[in-house]
Order: sequence, then structure tokens, then C-alpha cells
Amino acid sequence: MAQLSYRDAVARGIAQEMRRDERVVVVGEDIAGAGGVFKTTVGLLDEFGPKRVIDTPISEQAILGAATGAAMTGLRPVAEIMFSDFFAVCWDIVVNQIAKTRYMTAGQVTMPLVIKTGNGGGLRFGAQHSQSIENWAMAIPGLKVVTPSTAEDVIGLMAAAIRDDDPVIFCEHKGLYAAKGEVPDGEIVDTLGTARIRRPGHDATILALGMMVPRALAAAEDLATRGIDAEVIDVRSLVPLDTRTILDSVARTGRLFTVEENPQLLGWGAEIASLVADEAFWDLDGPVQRITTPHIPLPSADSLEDLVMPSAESVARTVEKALQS
Amino acid sequence: MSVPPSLAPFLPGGRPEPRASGGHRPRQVHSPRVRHLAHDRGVHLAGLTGTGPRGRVTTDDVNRAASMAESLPLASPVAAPGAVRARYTAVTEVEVTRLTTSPDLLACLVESSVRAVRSVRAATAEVVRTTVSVHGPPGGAPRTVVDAHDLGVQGIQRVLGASDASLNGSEGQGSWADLSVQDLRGTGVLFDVPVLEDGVVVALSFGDVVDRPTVVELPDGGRGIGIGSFVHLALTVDEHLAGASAARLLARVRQRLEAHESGRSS
Repeated sequence: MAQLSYRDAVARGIAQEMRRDERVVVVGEDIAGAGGVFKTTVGLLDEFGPKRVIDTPISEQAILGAATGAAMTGLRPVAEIMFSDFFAVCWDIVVNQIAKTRYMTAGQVTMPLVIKTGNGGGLRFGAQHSQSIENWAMAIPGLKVVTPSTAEDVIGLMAAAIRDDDPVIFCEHKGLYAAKGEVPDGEIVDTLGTARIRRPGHDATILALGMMVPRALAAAEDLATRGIDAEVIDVRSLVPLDTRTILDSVARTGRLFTVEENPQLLGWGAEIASLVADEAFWDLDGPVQRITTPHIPLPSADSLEDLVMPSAESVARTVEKALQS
Repeated sequence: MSVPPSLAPFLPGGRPEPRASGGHRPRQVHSPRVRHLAHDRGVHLAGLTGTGPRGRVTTDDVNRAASMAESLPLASPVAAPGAVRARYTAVTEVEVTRLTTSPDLLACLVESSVRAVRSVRAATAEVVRTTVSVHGPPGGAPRTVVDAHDLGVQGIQRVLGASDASLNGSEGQGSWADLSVQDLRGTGVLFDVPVLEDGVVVALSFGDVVDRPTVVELPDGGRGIGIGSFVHLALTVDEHLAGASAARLLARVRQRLEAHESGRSS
């Protein structure tokens, strides 16, 4: 057991799998010599050499084109899109090739590809470098979408993603890179499509993802001082989704809140609200409430970015108000 | 026009107006969870006083009411502490021209009432013993018909006519009844609004049978004026009798009584 930062956990998870399987390679901008612009691939070049840890030109299409070909021909690449906002420039290959190849070849060609990416806001990077794009990806059949919130989960879910034969969009929250957590020694392998109850509670279920998890936990602690016992679930994996854990929790608490960093329209919480309306309507003791950013681009100004993103305070305030109305 | 905040992103520009605050809610709203639990536990929500925010009925309120009901006799109403029990009364008039010549209009009425109550209870799977307390005519002691649902008109008539008016069971006078029938014949009163004593969920009252002109069918198929005998029935029901409304229940009593009147009751 050791303290490890979220960013170091990314490198440890990839290294764990590279030692285990020589087909695993890493490609991306500045990921080799520089160790990644967010320092999430430090040490990989030294350990595994330039044939397996490959710097690319500044072209997202080239990164994913190369990774797609590699995955189709027997390697298990981990490609980095530095900022998740840049998926927008390589969407064609993601949506029309990566997501559909296994389907269109009737399973003859698998796509064991992980696209890791720095995702999310809160770091004053402005509207074009701060977006949370999970909901873009989860709209495409054929893609799996994962967002860990702890160092241990980064390793375990990265390992699971690399071992999976389908393409996985692996969203690393930029705001969590510096966060440290206890990580067990030895190999860690997790399971895609599993959520974690971070804090059990009876009065309300709060679902959160990525950097919203620590905020939801802080909100729950705050609510506890006022007699509200909230359960916090770290969704971790949007596709596949751990519907059992979510529905069981709603059956216990009767109230559901989602804490989403994305803008309100078509956020992942809307999909879960729809699921709960279908499957758990008679368990609901009040309307599902979503706590999201407004439907606006994220501002650059510190004060404005803080204002629009869900905070522990806004989560606690929303939950308390809902339970008292 | 007010716009729900959740619709704001779909609207072109501008902040939606705040929702109109009406000051009061037009009706009590129960969450799906509370409705489901109440259904499962056989609790009627209409009479519950909620302890939640703004008087909302909570799952705890439903569970408390259900627990209280379980500790009471089966026929007793389910009520939360502080709940106001609503009672509803309906009145109708039935022709009993033939029944007045039969020895016991009272027995027919008791039997019709029991069947009506049982039909409601069967529909809600709340089948319990039905005991009737019969009051009147004035001056007489109240009589109890235990397990009246096991008896036909003649059986009821026999119980009512016996010197020990509770011979159909071990419970005697003073035991609780869930149905009461008040016979006011001979008082000059058409009906009285029945009052629900403790534990009674349905009360029926009827008064003097009066003769008056009425439309009758003639042997040739035409219609004419004849003399008919009529009685007024007033029925009060506790809202906690599952599935019952006073009007619906009284309609069933009337229907059954009309069957007796026309000789189609068996």
C-alpha cells in the first residue's frame, strides 16, 4: 500500500499492462521523451523503449489512424488525445471506424484500443480545453466510456480497458491528476461496467463521475451535519453502466441526484434519469434532479468557472432543498 | 408564462421567469414510492396527515399507519395519528311494495347491506368477517348478527327474531361490528343520517315505509298509475373502507334490495 497520485497511477497502470503483454504500445503527442504534457506517461519510454512508446506529430487524426491500424493488425495500443476537446477533430475515425469495425466485420476484426484523454474543467483552461466529453462518446454504439476518480481505479480500469477487445474512451480528469490516494501493491485489475458506493446512506442517492465524486462526497459530509444521510456512488463506467448498483440504491433511498460536469442537455445523468423512470418509478420519492453546468461553454475566468461548475456547496444545497420540499 | 427551470436550455436566450408560486398546493401530491407502499400495505392515503415537508405523506407515515392497522381489529379503519376520517353519506329511495308484505324487510336490508360491503371487500382482497349491529325499532335493544355473511335472509331473520339475538356465534352483544343498520320504522321519519360508531365502517338507516302513487307497468305492456310502497335508505361510509364510495355502495344495496323485491334474489 502506498500513496500515489492520479497522474502517476496512469503511468503505473499502462506499465503494468505493458510488462504483461508486449502487444501493448503507447502513441501520442509528447508522451515519450516528455512523459506526456500532463506527465501521465513518465518512465514508459525508459522502460519500454521507442518502439513501444511513440511520439507523434501534432495530428489527432494521425494518432488515431495509426492506433486504429495497429489495433486491427494485432497490437493493443493506448493512444493519447491530449485534451478531450480535440476528439472533435478526429471524430470521423472514432465514430465511423473505431466504433464500428468489430460490428461491420462480424467480429472478425476486433478493436482492442484505449484512447486515453485529459478531460474536464476547473483548471482555467478556457472553453476549448475544459470540456467533459463523456456524453459525446457514449452516444456512439460501439464505444466504451470510463472515467475513474481515484488513483487505484485509474490503474484497475486502465488494465481492464487495455485487456478489453473493444475500444474504450478512457477519460482522465485533469483536475484530479495531482490528487493522491492509497493504492495497493501488486497487480490491480478492475472490471468495466461497475460502479462503487463511496459512501453508503439512506436518504438520497448522489451519482457522480470523475472530479464530481470528491465534491459529492464533501457535499454528503456537509449534509450529514444537518441530518441528511446521502449515499454517494462513483459511476466510474458510463458504457457499460452498472445499472444494478444504481437501481438498488434508488430502491433504498427513493431519491436520485446526478452531479455532472457536462452541460445539462443530453448529459449522462439524463440517460440515467430515463433509466430510473423506466425501471424504478415506483421507488421514487421525488423527482430525479440533475446538478450540471448550465448549457454554456465553460468560462476562463476563475470566478465564473467556479460559479458554473457543480460544487460541494451547490450539490448540498440542491439535495437539502429537494428533500425539504 | 412561467417556464420550468429544466426547460431553460431549450429556450432561445434569456433566463426563464421564476415559476409562479401559488402559495398553496391545490391537492396533496404523493410520490410514486409512497403510493406504491400504501398500495402494498393496504393504507388509504386520502386520510393520512403527512409529517414530511409541507405536509407530504412519507413512507414512515404509511408504515406507521399500516402498523397501527395491523394492531387493530381487521375491520377497523386505518388512520394515522391526527388523521381526520372523512365520512360520506348518500341517500336513495327504493320501492319495496312486495317486500313490505313479506315478514321481514329488515332482514332483506341487512342481507343486502352485507353483500354490498362484501363485494367491495372482495374486490380489494380484504375479506373479513362481517358482523352487523341492528338498532331499532326505537325502544328495542340493539341486536348483533355475528358472521352475517354466512347467513341468508332467512338466517338473518332467525337471528333477529331470537330471544338471544346473537346466536350465530360466540360473540354477544357489545362486541364490535363493522356494519350497523338502523331501523326507524314507525317514527314518522324517512331516514336519519347514520353516524359511524367506533369500528363501524358502514352504517345504514331507513325509516317509515310510505305508500304513494307511482308509475306501474300494466298487464297489457302499457303504463299506468298505481300505488307503491317506498322506503328511504341513507348510507354513511368511512373513507377507509377500501374501494368504497357511499353512492357506489348504496347503489349495490339498492340493486340487491330490488332483486329481493322482484323475486330474483336467489
